[in-house]
Amino acid sequence: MDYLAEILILAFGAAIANNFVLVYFVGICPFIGVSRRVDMAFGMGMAVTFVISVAAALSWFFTYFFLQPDAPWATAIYNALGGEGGSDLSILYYIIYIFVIAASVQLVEMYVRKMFPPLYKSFGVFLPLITTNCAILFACLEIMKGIHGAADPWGLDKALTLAIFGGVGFTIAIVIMAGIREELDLCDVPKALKGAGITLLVAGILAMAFMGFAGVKKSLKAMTESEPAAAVKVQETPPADKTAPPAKPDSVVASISKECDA
Amino acid sequence: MGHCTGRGCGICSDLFEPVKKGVGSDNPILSHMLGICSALAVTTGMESTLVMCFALTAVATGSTFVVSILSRFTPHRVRMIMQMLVIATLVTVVNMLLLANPETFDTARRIGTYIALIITNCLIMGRCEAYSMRHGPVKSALDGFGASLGYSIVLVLIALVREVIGKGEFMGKPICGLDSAGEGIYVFKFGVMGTVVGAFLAMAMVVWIVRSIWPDETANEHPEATQ
Repeated sequence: MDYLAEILILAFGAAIANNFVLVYFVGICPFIGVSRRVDMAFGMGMAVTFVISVAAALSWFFTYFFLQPDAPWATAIYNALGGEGGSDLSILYYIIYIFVIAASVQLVEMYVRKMFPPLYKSFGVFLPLITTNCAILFACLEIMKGIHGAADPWGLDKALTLAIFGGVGFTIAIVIMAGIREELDLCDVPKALKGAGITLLVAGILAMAFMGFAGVKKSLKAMTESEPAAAVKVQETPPADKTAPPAKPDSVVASISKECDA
Repeated sequence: MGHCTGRGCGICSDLFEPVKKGVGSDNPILSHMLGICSALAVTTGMESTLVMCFALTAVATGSTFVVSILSRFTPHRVRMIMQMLVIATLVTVVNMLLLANPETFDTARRIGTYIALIITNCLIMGRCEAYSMRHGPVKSALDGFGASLGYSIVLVLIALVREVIGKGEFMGKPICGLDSAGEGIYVFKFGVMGTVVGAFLAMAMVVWIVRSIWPDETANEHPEATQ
């Protein structure tokens, strides 16, 4: 039960409470650049979620078995070649990650082009450009932090949970943003604020709304740690959390658009 | 990312023209909205901002220089991966340098993730792709330096706003003779500026003020160029 609670808290944290875009500021470029229309934003979010999962699984594999200090497979190879003691390839982290990301973008691109031609067309130029999306490298770096020198190194399950829900959080943020910006087209924005300026202001207000979820995460954690009996409750709460988050930002959207109408 | 073509980048007669452009009309943050992830994340304090600016300037100058040399021997199809490899290598080196220096060790530990994220900073990729592939190494290095100087100036501005207003401190020391217990002369503190929200608001304010004073720059805006 502890394991389940841990995974759920990680998932909730990655998607909502520690949202990649609105708390860690990664992936801001597409957040501002590709948030003109909701359908485009959703496509971008799904593409990022795809790539982030593949890249996270691959980088977990490389980090765990080859790159971390005393990694099992790298040490075996090193010893077979006549070396002594453990290997330490941690200097190669960044280079391997960037290769893994570029390769998984290529992989996803080929797969989508073969299997879903219409989807491929709608992604257009965004797909190759995901390579330079900081959110993906950020997920890889978080996984590295979870493995490197940790007393209890992350398994593939935790790495994938962080990556997939990080991608979902990115999608939530960018879709909300696109919804607000569609409404903003009808508003009279000062000329100097048009485009990037007003987007940043709206992002600030959104970040304020998302700050509230930090408290939810804290109480969720407290609930799992306090009593074994509370564990049953924990099982019930996550579905409620999944429905709750969109509710709040939606009300933010509504209130902002109301202000615009007035 | 070819946003630079068609605006006279190729006809820079003066060697220092790229530096001037990077700070002014071609400022990566203000006119292109490039590389703002780190601009928002590290500006809570002046110290981390300066470390970040140093790291970015070093990586940008070095990588534009190296990419410009390598571009002659690189097939067109693999140029992106070559640029990324060069940048990632330089970031690893700079990160190790910062961690080796006792003065920057703590700060580098704290913002380590964002130093690593320099690899995917659109600013550097943008300069490599738009300028270094077609110009000589010295010119490219100056261009990279100019762009990162423009970036640094904006970052320091935002950090100044956020640290002074948000924490009532400057370079980690309280201003107006406030002692560590928080007693002394009253200092105006607006805590929200130190948080995530303040980062977005401060950035929006800087963009707003700059574009009101120099309205021409709105014409240069290509939000799509960042993606």
